[in-house]
Amino acid sequence: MSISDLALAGGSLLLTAQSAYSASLMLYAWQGEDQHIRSRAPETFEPPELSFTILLPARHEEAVIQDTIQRVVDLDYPHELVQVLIVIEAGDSGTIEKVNQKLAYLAARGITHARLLTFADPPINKPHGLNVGLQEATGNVVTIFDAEDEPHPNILKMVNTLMTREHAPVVQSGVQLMNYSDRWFSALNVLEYFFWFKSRMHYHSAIGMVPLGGNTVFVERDLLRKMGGWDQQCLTEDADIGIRLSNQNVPIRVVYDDEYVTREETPPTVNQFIKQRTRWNQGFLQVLGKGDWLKLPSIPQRLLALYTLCSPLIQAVLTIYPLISLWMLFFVKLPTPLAVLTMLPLYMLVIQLVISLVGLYEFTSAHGLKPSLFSPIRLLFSFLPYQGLLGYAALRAVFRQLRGMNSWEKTVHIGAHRTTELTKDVSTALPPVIHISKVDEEVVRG
Amino acid sequence: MADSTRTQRTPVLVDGKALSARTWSILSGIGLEVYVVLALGIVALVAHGFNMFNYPAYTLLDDEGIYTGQAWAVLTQHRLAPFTFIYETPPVGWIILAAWMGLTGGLHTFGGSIDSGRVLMLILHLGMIPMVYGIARKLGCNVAAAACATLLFSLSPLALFYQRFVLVDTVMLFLALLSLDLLLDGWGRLSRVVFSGVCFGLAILSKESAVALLPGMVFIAIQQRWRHQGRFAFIGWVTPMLVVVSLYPMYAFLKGELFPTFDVPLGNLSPTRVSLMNTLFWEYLREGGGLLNYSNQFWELVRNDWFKRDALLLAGGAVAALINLRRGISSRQAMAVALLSIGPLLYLARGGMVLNYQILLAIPFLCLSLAAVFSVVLEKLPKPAMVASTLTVVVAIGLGYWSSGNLQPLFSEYPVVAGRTSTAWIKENISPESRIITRDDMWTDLRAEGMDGPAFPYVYTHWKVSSDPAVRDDVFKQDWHNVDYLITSPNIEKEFIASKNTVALEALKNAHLVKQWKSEPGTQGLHNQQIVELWKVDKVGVTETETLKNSGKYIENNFSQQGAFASSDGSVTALSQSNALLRAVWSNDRAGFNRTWAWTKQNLQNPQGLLYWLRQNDIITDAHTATHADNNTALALLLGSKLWNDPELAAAGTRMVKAIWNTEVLTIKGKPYQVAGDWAATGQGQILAINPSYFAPYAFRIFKDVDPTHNWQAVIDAGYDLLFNASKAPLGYTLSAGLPPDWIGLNRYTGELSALQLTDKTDTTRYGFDAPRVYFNIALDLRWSGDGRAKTYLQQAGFLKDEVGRLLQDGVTRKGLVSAIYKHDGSVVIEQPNLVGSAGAMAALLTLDPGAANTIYSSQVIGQVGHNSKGLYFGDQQDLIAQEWGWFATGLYANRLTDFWHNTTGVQPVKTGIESQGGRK
Repeated sequence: MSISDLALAGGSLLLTAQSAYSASLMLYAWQGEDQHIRSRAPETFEPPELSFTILLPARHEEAVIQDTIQRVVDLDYPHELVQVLIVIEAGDSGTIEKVNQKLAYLAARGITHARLLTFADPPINKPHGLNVGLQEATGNVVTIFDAEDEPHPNILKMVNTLMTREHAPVVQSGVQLMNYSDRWFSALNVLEYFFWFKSRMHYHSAIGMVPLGGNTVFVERDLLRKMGGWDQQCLTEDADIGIRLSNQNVPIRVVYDDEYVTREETPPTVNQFIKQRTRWNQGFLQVLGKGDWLKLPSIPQRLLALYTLCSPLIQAVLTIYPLISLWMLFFVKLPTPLAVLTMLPLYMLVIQLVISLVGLYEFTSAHGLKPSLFSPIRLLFSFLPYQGLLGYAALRAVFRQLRGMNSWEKTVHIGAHRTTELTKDVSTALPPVIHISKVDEEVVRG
Repeated sequence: MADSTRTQRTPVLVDGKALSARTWSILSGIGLEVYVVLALGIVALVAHGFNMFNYPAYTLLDDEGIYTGQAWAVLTQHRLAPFTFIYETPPVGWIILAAWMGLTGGLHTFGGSIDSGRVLMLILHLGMIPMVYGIARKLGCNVAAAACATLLFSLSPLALFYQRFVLVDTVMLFLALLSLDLLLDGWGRLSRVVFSGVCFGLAILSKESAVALLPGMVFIAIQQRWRHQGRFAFIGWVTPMLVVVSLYPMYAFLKGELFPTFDVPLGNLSPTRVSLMNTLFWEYLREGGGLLNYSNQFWELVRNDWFKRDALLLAGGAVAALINLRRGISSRQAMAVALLSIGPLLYLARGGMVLNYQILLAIPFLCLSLAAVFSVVLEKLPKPAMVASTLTVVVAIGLGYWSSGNLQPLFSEYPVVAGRTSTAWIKENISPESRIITRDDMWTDLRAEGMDGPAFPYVYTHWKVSSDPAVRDDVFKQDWHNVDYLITSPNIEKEFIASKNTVALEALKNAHLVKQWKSEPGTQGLHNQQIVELWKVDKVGVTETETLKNSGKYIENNFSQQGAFASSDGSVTALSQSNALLRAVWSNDRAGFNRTWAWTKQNLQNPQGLLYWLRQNDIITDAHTATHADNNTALALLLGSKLWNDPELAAAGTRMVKAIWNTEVLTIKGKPYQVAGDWAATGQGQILAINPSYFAPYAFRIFKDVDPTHNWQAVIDAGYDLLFNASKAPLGYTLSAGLPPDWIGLNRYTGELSALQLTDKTDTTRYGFDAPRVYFNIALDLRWSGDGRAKTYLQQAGFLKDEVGRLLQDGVTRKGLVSAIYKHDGSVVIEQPNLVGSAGAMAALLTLDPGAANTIYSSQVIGQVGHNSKGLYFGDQQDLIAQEWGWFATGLYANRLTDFWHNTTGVQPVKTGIESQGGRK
C-alpha cells in the first residue's frame, strides 16, 4: 500500500467517522426516553418569581421592530417582573423613530416596562448593544430576542419554572426557522435549526460544552456581569459566551419543546444565506482561535469544543472530498477494498439525506404543518446543492479568516428575517470589556 | 405508522415488564436467571465442545474447507478468496473467521485450520446462549420455557451436528440473533435499533439466507417502535441494514463485476467473466421443484437426514410455528415468533438447491416456537405442576435423544482420523512443489505453512480446476499431465463428471493409489465412512527429483561415515559401497563419489583390485568377493570417468574389469559364465554357484569396450541363456512360475542347471531377497541397449502381473502389490512386501504392464516414504537395503539412471517410465 493509498483510506475513515458522529448528534434527541422527556417543557408552571430583563437589539429594523416590541410586551408574565430594553445604535434614526412611536403608543395604554437604549461609540454591533443593555438590566435574568423573533407567550413562565425548579442559572430554549417551503434551500435550513436545537444542543448540555444560540437564551444577570458580558469583537458572541460559561462549569439547561420554540425565518436569498453562514463559520473559527475552549475542565468538553469549532474546516474538507473520491473512482485504478472505503463518506451523505427526509416529517408533524407531496422531492434535489452552499460558505469563511477579513459584510434586510447581522467593524474593535459609555440615551415614558 | 407511533408510549412487543429479561440485567443483576443462563452456558460448552475436533469429520463437508481457505486468503493475501471470487456467498462470515485467526495467532493455534474455525463456532454458540434465552424471555416466554428453548438449541443432535461445522451460517445466525436481541431492547435506545440494523445487514452479508428472517425482523422493527424514537425507529433499523448490505453490490460494482455479462442466458454462469448478478440468478433460478414437490432436495433432506437426527425439533418446531401463527392473530409476540420460524422453513422448502447444513437457519427459531407454545401450556398449570412438567419434559427429551443413539457418536467417535492423518502424511512426505488437485477440506492446511510442514503453493481444489479459468486454463492448461497428485475420496469421480472436470478425470484415470486412510465407520450410519486417498499421476516430475535428492541425503546422513556405508550392525559390505558409488555417479555427486571410492579403495580392495565382501569393526571378516559388487563398482568407475572426464577412474575401472574376468568368470562348455564370486570359482565341487541377480548385461556392454581382450559379449549371451533356463526350469517343483531363482547351480562339466544346495539348507530356488534384482538389471539393460532378449524376458513376468491384479478374499479389492518371497512355483512364503521386491516387480512390469508398475511404484515406493530431519526414507528407517532400492526404483522409474558411457551429453532429459519403456535402440 502506497502512502497516498494510506492517506486516502485514513481520510475516508476519518470523514466517515465524523459523519457518523454528526449523524448521532443529529439523532441524539430520539435516542432514549430520558432525552425525550428532558427536552420537553414542564407540563405545569411555578408561580412567577424571577424578574426578567428582555434585551431587544436592533439595527435598521424599521419594518418589524414595532411588531416585535408588541409581542414581547404581550408575553404572559406580570409586567412588574419584566423589563424590556430595546438597544439601538444612535445613528439608526429610522428604527429609533419607529421604536419611539411604538413606546408612545404603549405608554398611552399604560404599558411602561419597555425602554429604548441607544449607543454611539464603536463598535456598532450586537454584542456591544447587549453589553449596553446589561448595564441597565434590573431583572434577575437577562434574555435576548432578535427583531424578527416570535417568542411563545408563555416562554417566561416556562423559563421561570425551569430556573426555580431546577436551579438552572442558564436556560437555552429552542429557536426554530419555520418557512420550510419558501425557497429551495429553506427546508434544509429549517432542518438544521431543528436538529441543532432539538437534538444536538442537548448533547452539548450533557457534555457541558454549549455554544449558546443568539436569542431565547436566559442567563442570570449577575452571572453575566461576573463573566464580563459579551465579547464585542466576536462575530458569534453567543457561542463564545456559551463556551466561557461552560469554562466555569455553569450548567446550561437546554429545552426544546416544539410548542415553545421562538420562531424565525430563513434568509431570503442565497446571497444572504451565504453571508450569514460565512459569518457564523468565521465566528466559530475566531472562538477557536481565542483558545478559551482549552480551559474547559474536562477532556470530553475540550474535544467536543474542538470538534464543534472546527466544523467550518470539516465542512470545507467535506466539500472537496467527494469531488476527489469521485474523480479517483473514475480515473484512478484503486484496489477494490480501498475504492469501497473511499465510497463510505458518500454513503454517509446518503444517510444524512435520509435523516433529513425523515426529519422533515418530524418537523412538520411537530408543528402541525402538512408537507406537500413535493416537499420531500424538493428536499431530495436540493440536498446536494445545499451541501454545496454550506461548503462554499465554509471555504469562504476559512479564506476570509486566513486573510484577516473580519469586517462585516453589509446585507440587505427585507422584512421578517433574522436580524442578528448587526453591522460590525471589529477591525477597529476595542478589547473585550464592557463598553459602558452611554450616549444619547433616551428614555421615553408615556 | 406515524400516528400510531406517537400514540404509543412503549412498543407492543417488549414493555416495562420485560425489562427484567434484558440480557444486560441478566449479566449485571443477581437472581435466578443469572444462574439459569450460566448453567445453560456450561451445558452448551460441554455439549458443543467435547470431541468437537473429532466429530463430525471435516472431510464430510466441502464448505468448512472453502470458508477456512477464504479466511486464509483474507488473512494472508488480503483478498476475499484464494482463487477468483465468484460471489457465491457474501464474505463477512469468513472475514470474521480471518479476524479470529489473526487474533489467535494464525490458522493452526488449535490444530488444523478447521479446528481453529471450530473453536470460533463454539464461542459463537456460547454467545448465542444468552441471546436465545433473552429473546425467548422478551417474546413472552417464562423462565422455564426460555430455558428449555436454549437447552434444545444446545442439545438437539441436529443442532449439535451442524453447529460444530465451520460454517458462515453460524456466523450469520449469531449476527441475526444479536440483531434481534438488540431490536427487542427494553430501553428503546435508538442507537441499539441502529446497531441492530447494522448487525442484520452483516448477517445477510455473512449468508444471504438471512433474508428469510426479514419478514419477522421487519414485523418486530415496526411493532417495537417507541414513541420517543418517532419516525426514526423503523428507518433507524432499515437504513443501516440496507447501507451495510449495499456494500456488497458496491464492491462488485467497483470491480466491474455487478451487472449480468449477457454472454450466457440468464440463470447461467459465464465461462469467462464473473458477475454478482449472474451468480445470484444462477443460484436462485436453479430447478428444484417447489414446495409441494416431495422429491425436491428439501423433502429429501427432511426424510433422509434432518428427521433422522432430530424429529422432535423439526416436526415439533414446525407444528409449534403454525400454532404460533394462529395465536399471532391476537398476540403479536406469537406472530413475531411464528414469522421468524416459518420464514426459514419456507425459504428452505422453496425448491432449488438446498444443502443439509442450511437447516441451521431454522434451528433457533424452531426452538423459540416450541418454547412459546410450551410457555403458554405452563402458564395454565399451578406452580408446582409447572416445575414438575418442566423437569419431566427436559428429562424425557434428554432420554429420547440418548436412546435414539444420535447423540453418543458426537462424543465418542473419531471420523476425523482419515482427514487428519492424511493431511499430516502428505505435508510430511510429498514434495511441496507438486501440483495437487485436492478436496476442499484439506486445501487450507496444505496451502498454508504450518502443522510441521511447508506450504504447498500449487494445490488446487477440484472445483476450481473445473470452473476457474485462472486455474483450469492458466495453471493446468487443460492437460492432466500437469497434475502430480490427486487427493480424493471414493466416488469423487461423480463430482468430476458432474462438474465436467476433464483435467481431474483424466489425471485420475492415469493415476495410481499411493495411500489410503480410513476412519472407523460410524456406528449409527449418520454419515459415510471417511476415506481419503492420495493418487499419484503416472508421470515423472517433481516427486522423483525430490525423492532422489532427499533419499540420497538421508542415506548419506544416516549410514555414511567418511565414505563408508554401514548398515545398522556396523558392517560395511562391498555391495553397499558399490551402490553408493553408482548413486553418486547418477546424482553427479563428485565429492561423494571421491569420498566413497577413497574409503573403498583403502579399506576393501584386495590385491587383485576386487573388493572384499565384508568389513566389520575395522576388520575384514569376509575376504571373498561378490561379483555383483565388483560389477557395480567397475561400472561406477567407468561411468564416472566419462562423466567427469577422469582417466584415473577409467584406469581403475579397467583394472577391475580385467580382475573380474580373471577371477569371477568361468568358461563352461565354451561359454563364459560369471559366478557368484571368487569363492564360487575356486571351489572344488562340480556345481558352481551362480546368482542370477548378479548378471549385469548393461555393465558388460561397457566392460567389453575397456577390456576388448575378453569376450564380454559371450558373457552377456551366456547370462541371458542361463536366465531364461533358470526361470523356466522347475528346479525341484512340479512347475515354475517363471520367476528367476535367488541362486542356481551350474554343473561345471555338463553345463546343466540345478537347484543350488547351500550349507544352511535354505531354499535357494525361491524368488526372495536377491532374485527381484534380476528384473531391475534386465529392465536397465533394455533401457540402455534395447536388447530384444531383455524385452522378451520382462514380458514373461506374467506371474507378477497376475499377483498385482489378483482379487483378494473380499472379491472386490485387488492385491495391488507383490509379496516379498515366493517359492519357485509361485506360492507365497512371506506376504508382506519389501522394497527390493517392489523395485524388481516395478522394473519388470514397466514393460509388461505399465499400469501395474505404476500401482506398485505409487503405493509401494512413494507410498512408503517417510521424512525426518535427515531426509527421506523408505519403509524401515534403519534398513540400508530398503533405502538403496527405494532410490534405485525411483531412479529407474524416472529414467535418471543414465548410461554416461554411451551418452556423454550429461544428464539425460527426463522421460517417464512409461514413455521410455521401449528403451533406447
